[in-house]
Amino acid sequence: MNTQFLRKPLAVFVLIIIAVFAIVVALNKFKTPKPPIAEKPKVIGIVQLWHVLDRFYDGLKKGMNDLGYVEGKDVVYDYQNWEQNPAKINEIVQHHIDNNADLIYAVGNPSVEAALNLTKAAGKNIPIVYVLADKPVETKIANSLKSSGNNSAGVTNNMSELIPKQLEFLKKINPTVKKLGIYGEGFNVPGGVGAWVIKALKEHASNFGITIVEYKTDVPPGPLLTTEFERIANSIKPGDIDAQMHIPGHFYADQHLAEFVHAKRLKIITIEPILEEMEAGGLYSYSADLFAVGEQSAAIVDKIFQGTKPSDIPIEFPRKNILGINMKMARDINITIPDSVMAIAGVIIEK
Amino acid sequence: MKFKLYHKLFILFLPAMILPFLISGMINVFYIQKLQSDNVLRLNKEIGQFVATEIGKFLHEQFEILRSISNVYQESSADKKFQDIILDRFLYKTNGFIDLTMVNSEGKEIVRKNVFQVIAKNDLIDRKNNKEFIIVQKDNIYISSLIIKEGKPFFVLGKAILDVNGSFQGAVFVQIDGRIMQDTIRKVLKEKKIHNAYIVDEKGVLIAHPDISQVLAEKNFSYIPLVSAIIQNKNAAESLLIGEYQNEKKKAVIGTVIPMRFHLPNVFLFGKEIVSSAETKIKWWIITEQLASEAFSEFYKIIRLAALVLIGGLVVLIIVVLLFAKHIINPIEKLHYASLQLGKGNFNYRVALNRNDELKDLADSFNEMSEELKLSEEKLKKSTWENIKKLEDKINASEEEIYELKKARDNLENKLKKFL
Repeated sequence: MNTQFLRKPLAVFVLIIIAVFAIVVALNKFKTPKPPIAEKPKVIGIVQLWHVLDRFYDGLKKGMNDLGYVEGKDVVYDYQNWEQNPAKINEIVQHHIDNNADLIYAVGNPSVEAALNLTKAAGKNIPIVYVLADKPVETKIANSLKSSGNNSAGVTNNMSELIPKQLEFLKKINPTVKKLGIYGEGFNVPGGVGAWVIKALKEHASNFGITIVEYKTDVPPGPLLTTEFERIANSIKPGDIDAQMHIPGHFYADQHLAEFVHAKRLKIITIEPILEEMEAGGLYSYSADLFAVGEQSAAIVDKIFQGTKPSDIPIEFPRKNILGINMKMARDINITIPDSVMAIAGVIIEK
Repeated sequence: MKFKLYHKLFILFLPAMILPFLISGMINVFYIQKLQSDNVLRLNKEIGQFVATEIGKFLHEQFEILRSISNVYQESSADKKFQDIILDRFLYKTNGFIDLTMVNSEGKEIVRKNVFQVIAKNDLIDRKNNKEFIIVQKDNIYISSLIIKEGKPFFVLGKAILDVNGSFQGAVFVQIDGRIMQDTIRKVLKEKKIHNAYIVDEKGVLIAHPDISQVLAEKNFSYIPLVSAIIQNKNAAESLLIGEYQNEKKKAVIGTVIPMRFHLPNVFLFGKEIVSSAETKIKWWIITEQLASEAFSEFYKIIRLAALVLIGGLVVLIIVVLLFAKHIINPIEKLHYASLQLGKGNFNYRVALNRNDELKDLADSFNEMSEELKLSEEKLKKSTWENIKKLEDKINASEEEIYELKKARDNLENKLKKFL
C-alpha cells in the first residue's frame, strides 16, 4: 500500500475530518433494537374451574395483548382445567409450581385457596391473580379489600351481591313466583361461590315473598350424582316450584343443561348467575361481563410483572353488570318479558 | 528559559481558533436549552388544559344527562309506569351510573334506583340536612369528591330541578362509578403520549389516576411538591404551577398543576333560559407529568451531537494548528541549521525547501549568499596564496642577499685576520 500520501498534511487533515464525521454519524444513527418486555416469556399458569368460564381466559389474553404482551414471545399460557372436579385442583396447582410458573391465574374460590396453600407450603412466593372469587375477605383469601396481605390480588366476584337484583327481576318478569327451587348441598363444590349464592338467596328471598326450595343430596360426586340429579329433577312436578336458580360450582358438569330441559318441561323460569350459561338455556341473567373481568385482571397481571407486589394491589370489583334475556327460552316456557325489563336488557338472545 | 517558536505558535493559534468556536457553541446550546424548556413548559400547559377540558366535557355530558332525566321525569309525571321505565333506562344504560335518586323540594327521596341493591320504599331517606341537598338547592349543581365504599369508588353528582319560573322543585342525584374518570385520563395519556396525568382534591387525595390501584388505596399525594403547594397556598391554587420534582415512582418529572374549572351549560326550559351559565369551581386539581429525560430528550440529543462535533472539531483544530505550526517552523529550523553550517564554514551547505512562498525566497537568498561567500572565500584564498608566494620570493631573495653579504663579511674577516 502506498503510504507516501500520508506524509502530506492535507491528506491527513482530510482523513481526520472523514473519521470524525463517520464517528458522529455512527453514534447518532445507531439504535439499539427495542428489547422484548421480558428476556424469556413469562409463564402464566391457568387454574380454570370450568370450560364455560373460558371468557375470563379470553379476556385475559386480549387484555395482555393490548398491554403489549405478545403470546409466545412475551407470555405463554399453561392452561389447566379441573372441570369442577375438586380432586384435580391440587394436582393442577402443583403442576404450575413444579413448572416454575411466573404467575398463577386462578378462577374461583377453590382454585385461589389451593394456590395460596400450595405456594405457601412449597415456600414459593409465586404471585396469584384471581377472578370469580367471592367474598375474598370473608373467605380469608385477603386481609382486606385494600390489601390481601399475601401473594394474591384480583377481581372479586359479585354474584352473591347481585342476588337481590336477580330476585327483583324475577318478580318483575313473573310477579306470581313464590317458590324458587335450587340444587344446593351435595350438588356443589363446598366453599365455592355456590355456597355464597345459596346463603344470599336464603337471606333475601323472603323480602320478595319467595320461599327457597332446596334439593340436597349426600351422593358423592361422580356418575351416581348425575343419576341422583335426574331422579330428583324428574320427581319435580308442575307447581312444586315456580322458578329455579342455577347454582354455580356444581359437580355434575352439564347440570345446567339438564336444568334447562326440566325448566322447559315444567314451564318455569331459570335464573342464571352467569351470562354465558344463560345463553345455553336460562331465561335471564344479571351478572358481570366475564370477558371484561378477564381484561380487567390483565392490568393486575401486568402490574405484578412490572414489579408491584400483589399485596400492594387493592381488590377490584367488576366494572359492569349486564342483564341478558333469552327470548327463545321465553317462548319455550310461554313467558312474556315485560317492557320494563326489556328496556334495560344489555344482551337479548333471539335464537 | 528559551521558549520555542513552535510552542509559541501552538499556544497562540489554538485559543484563537478554538475560542470563537467554543463561544458560539455555548451560545447556541444556551438558546437551544431555553427554547426546549419553553417548549416543554408550553406543552405541559397545553396538556394540562387539554385534560381539564376533557374532564370538563365528561362532567358536562353527565349534567346534560341529569338535565334530561329531570326534564323527562317532570314531563312523565302523569304516567308512573312509563316514568319508572325511563328512570331504569337511564340508570342501566348510561355508562357508569350506579344509583339514581329523585328528591323533592323538601329533600325527601321520591324514587331511588341502584344497579347493585334493591331499594324498597322504606329504604328512602330524608336528605334535607345532607350536604349535597343543601348545596344543590343553593348552587343548582353538586359535585362530590371521590367516595370509596366497600372497595367501590364513586362520585355523586346532583342537579336542581327547576320549574318555568326557575323555582326549586327538587333535585336528581346520581352516583357514578369513579373508574370512569380513569378511562378519561387513560384516553388523554394515549392521545397526548404523556407520561402521567391524575386528579387530586384539595387535600391531595387521588380522585383519578391511570392506575386504579392508587385510587382504591386512597393514596394521598400531598407529599408531591406541586400538590403540597396547592394545599398550603390558596393563591397558588388558583393559577397554573409548573415544576420539576420526583414523582411517586421516584422518577424525575416536569409537572404542571391546573385548577379544574367546570362550566355549567345554560339551562333552557320550554324555550326560556332559566339560569345563565356560570363557572363552577370544583376543588380538584389536574396534574400532568412528563419524564424529565423525555422532555429534554431532543435537547440532550442536540447536546450530545454538539459535544461530538465540538470534540471532533477540537481534535481537527489541534491537528491543523500542529500541522500549520510545523509548516511554518520547519523551514525556519532548516534555515537555522543552514546558518549554523555557514558559521562553521561549510559554504557548500544549501537549504532545500519544496514550497512556493516567501520562505522559499528566503531560502533561495540564503543559498545565493552561501554561494557568494564561497566564491569570496575562494578568491580570498587565491590572492592570499599569491601574496604569500610573493613574500616568500622576497624572503628568498633577501635570504640570498643576506648570504652574499655574509660571505663577503666572512672574506673580510679572513683578510683582516691575515693582516693582523
